Amino acid sequence: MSKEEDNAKNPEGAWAAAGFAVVLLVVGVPVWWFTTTVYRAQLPYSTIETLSSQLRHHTVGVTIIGSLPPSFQEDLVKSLGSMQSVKFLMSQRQPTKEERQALHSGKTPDELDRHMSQLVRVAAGMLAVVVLPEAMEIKEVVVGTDRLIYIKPTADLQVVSSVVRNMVMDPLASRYAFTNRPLHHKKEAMRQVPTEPGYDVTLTLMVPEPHRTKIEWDARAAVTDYLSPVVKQLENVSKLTVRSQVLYMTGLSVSPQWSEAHKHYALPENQLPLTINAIEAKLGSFVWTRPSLHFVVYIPREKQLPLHIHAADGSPLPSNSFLVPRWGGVMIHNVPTAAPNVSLPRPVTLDSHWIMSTVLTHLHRLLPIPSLREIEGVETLAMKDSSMLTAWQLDGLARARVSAYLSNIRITLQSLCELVGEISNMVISDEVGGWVWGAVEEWEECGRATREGRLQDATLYCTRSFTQADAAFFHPSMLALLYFPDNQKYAIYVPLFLPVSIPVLLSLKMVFGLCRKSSTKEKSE
Amino acid sequence: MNTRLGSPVAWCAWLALWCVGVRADNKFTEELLLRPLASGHLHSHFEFTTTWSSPEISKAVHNYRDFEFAHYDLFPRALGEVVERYHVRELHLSLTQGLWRHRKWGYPVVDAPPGAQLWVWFNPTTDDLDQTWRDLVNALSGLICASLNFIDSTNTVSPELSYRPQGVADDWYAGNSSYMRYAALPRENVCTENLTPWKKLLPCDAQSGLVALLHPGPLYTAHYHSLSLHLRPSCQDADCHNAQLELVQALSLVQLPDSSAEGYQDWSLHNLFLVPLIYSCPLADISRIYVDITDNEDMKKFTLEPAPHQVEESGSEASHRRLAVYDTHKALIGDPFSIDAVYSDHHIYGMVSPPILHVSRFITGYGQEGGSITVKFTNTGPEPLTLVYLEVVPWYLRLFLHTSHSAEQLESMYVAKLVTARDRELPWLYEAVLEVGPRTTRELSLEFNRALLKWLEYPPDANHGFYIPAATVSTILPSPRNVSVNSLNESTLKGKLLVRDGESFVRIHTETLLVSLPTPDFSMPYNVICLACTVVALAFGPIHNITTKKLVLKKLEVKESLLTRLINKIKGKFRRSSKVDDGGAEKTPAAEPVVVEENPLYEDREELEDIMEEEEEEEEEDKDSCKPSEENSKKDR
Repeated sequence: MSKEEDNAKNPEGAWAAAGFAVVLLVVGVPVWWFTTTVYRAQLPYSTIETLSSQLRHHTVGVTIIGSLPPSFQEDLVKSLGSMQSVKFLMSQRQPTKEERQALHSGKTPDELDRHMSQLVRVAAGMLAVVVLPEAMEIKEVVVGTDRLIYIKPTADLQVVSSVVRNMVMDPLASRYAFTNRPLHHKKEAMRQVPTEPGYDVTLTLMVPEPHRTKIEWDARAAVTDYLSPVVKQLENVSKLTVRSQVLYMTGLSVSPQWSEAHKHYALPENQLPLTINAIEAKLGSFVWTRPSLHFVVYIPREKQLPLHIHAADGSPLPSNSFLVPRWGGVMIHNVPTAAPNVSLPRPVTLDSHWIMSTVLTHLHRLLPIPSLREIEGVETLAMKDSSMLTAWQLDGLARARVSAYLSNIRITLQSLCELVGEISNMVISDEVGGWVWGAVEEWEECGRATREGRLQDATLYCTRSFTQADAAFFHPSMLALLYFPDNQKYAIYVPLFLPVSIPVLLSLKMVFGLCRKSSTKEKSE
Repeated sequence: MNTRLGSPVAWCAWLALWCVGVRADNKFTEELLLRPLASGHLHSHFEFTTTWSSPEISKAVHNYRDFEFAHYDLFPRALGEVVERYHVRELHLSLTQGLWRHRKWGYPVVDAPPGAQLWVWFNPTTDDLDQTWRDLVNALSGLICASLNFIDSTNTVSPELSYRPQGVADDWYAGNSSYMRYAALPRENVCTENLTPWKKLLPCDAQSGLVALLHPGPLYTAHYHSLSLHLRPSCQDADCHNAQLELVQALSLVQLPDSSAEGYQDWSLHNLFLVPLIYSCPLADISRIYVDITDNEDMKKFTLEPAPHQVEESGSEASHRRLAVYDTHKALIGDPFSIDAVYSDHHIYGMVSPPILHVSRFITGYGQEGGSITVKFTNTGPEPLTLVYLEVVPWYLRLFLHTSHSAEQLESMYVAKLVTARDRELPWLYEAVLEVGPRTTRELSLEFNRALLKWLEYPPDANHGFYIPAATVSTILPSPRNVSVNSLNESTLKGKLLVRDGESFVRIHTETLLVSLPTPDFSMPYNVICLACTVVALAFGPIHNITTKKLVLKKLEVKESLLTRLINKIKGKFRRSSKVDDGGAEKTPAAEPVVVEENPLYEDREELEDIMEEEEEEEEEDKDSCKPSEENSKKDR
């Protein structure tokens, strides 16, 4: 007798077995699923994956005012076209009557720029090249304070092209933003602060010997005079919060050597990395999570005066300060040595101008703000107040930051997806899911605005997208179940499900037998 | 720009301002009080005060707006940022190890309950204050390295009377307790990890000044140790036109001087703190050490070496106080400085006369169901005392208020504020005003029931018990006897220590309590899961079998291999011979091998037999007809 015959004789048994299987499937499996599953909101995985392939470039409109030889213009277009991340839209027009007058009336570059920038309105994110009459006695390429470049028809094409490129975006920043991998091997690329919507700028005055020197420095006045205008200018691009503090009785832990040749104490460059370790503990904030930039003014100890930083080749650095990549800067402010019989503590006044201009230089390099210092044969007109930034510098910074945002957000979102894929225990709450959706949407908006050359919109969208992506990535709820071990799940369910499911599975054979039988019976009938 | 290049007049003005000193608006004082106690102990109280005054701060204080700090000098930035961000107006944090024994030691400069205590007055803001409080607590726990993050809604209250603002505050604000939050963590331990960040808030760090005396070794072996941080807006002048911000960092210690073989209570700065005092803090305007010599008339009891720079007397008659003052700025010229007290006689341990008010609190009752918190207020003074009693009890003790107060008791007391607990959300807040007659002891008890907690709500080491935070008792004493400080509005310790006749406010804290709640066996859930699963599995097997399987008789297949046939034959022969030997009447012949698929639950023999018969019939049919199997199944149907 075969087994099938057995089943055939016991149809009730087969039905019962089927019943068990159905109950197990309909009740048991859902219960198990819903009690052990990790909640995950729907995420736009496919969109996030395609983010890298989306076209990202800035569009910069360049208007040429005046006439240039046609070959020059073509070559310029060609030369600029090689810039990978920026697309230039060239247009040309003749100067108006007033403009022509202004061009001829202006004698000095400053005067010319003042007249022209009032007449020619260039929208944010755009540039205008003004062709000067040949007779003028100024340099061949002059960069104005607004978004104007003045060139003579005889100007060198390569110089003009590289000026425009550098004005549009810091070359390092553009390379940083448009490569897929962060440039960890590049020392300069590491210098730039991480791109975030806001920074804490802390000025720290370190006075290791307050019993000998009584420092007189009005930090408030220094900040309002030098830093506040720049902070206000940068408001649309990123928010800087400036604080100052004084640290007494703390010094840099350095051991400078007396240099007989220079008659001062020498702090070799290789000791610099060690200096900030000692003070780092006193600089942190417990309240804000935004990145901080620290600028430390160090008054050397009496017995180490005067103190100068020496470069690797043994020559003293003229700035007597050093930049710490992604962190800030440290400047050593020497004070005159005390007269032998002066009453202590002696009052010492600090040079506010020197301190603040060093801070600004460091800040420019950390952000980084584009500059044309390295190109020869170019005159750059500065704002009347030298600490202020020009319009094209702000544009360039905003552009570089948008690029950095676009690539950072993409990396954040893709890492999030990757993590979620790899770690099955990660919870994605609806809140986090909402942020991710929002970030993706804003990212796309930002990309569109960038392609269309709307720089301010792009900054706005990107900042919002960045905030959301960051909030999603670092939300603590994602880690809630990360350390819940899998074996605990099994420990609870195995004693129940194993003895129950084995007989049920085995008896399924019977059910199949019954099914087959009934089907063959139907056939035979 | 104008200010920088500006006119010579502006320059002169700036210079003049600078010459007065940039630090004019920031002041730092460091003070230490050493007080021999009647019980033979020595109380040392360090107080570091940083004040910061500026027109903006004054304006913010008077308008109840948040402080906006941008340029820090002596005031610590780490704390300033917390204050600024979380709308703090007044903040009091204390971390204490040990219990201050009011009966023997009198009242301390700053009283603190064992464990951590935090109370904060916030500025009126539009933000959700509960959320702000949660964030503040987390920021502070990072700042001071304490587990303040355990403060949540289940231990936070807003008492009405006990914790009024200590700084500048108008009546409308001081009376609105919705701006304040109070929480205590009685289980919190204090250690070096709290001391180090606390020291970091001081302008001189731990490098020089009196703070250099704070070496963790002797600090944490003391009988009582309390670290605290008090921030409040205070007045610059008597009429309070200009307000300033005042940060007091205090540390109190009670040590028993090492009374070596001779049995004298001699002490010196060096053997109390084990570190020499070499430098005073150059940033401190005042750096002083006070020794309380009230009991030491004419240096009869002990002599001080070196002699104090100055002796200050204050108060009169019963509440008279004499302080020996040392100026460390003056004393510290080159050599390490120490104060030695040399006693002429052995210390005689005897009865110490208790202060006017002392309180003791304990748990009564037995078993794991009910109990009661009993408080005894003792007034030793000649006048009746009105006091405010604040009790914050966690929700898992369920108070019975109706039986706690007799009608007689209610005649001389009333409950000022009562917030009933909500499970897992709110604690009990019980604030009562009561009167204690002259030279009487009054007892009050709050009955409670213990609640059962959920499995995961028990802390680690649940059998240790649950701490109930200390109760707070505040009163105004008619005379300043035994009171360390009776003018809380002074900025410096010296000002606070001057005894003024008249009423003085004291706030004291009672003992914390340890209540054991019924604790379950924590491995139980696992056992239950395992047991339940096993039972289900055991039951399921047979049920499944019964419902799905039918007991049938089945003929063994005759098709066998040569070997097995051989073995079977031998077996059969052997079996038969053995059965014959036994003489048993075996009816089933070996030639008809039938196997019964038996279910152990089928004990019903009759049914079994029925089935067997059926089987036999079928088999016969099979033999006869030799029909295909499909036919059979049809028949069955």
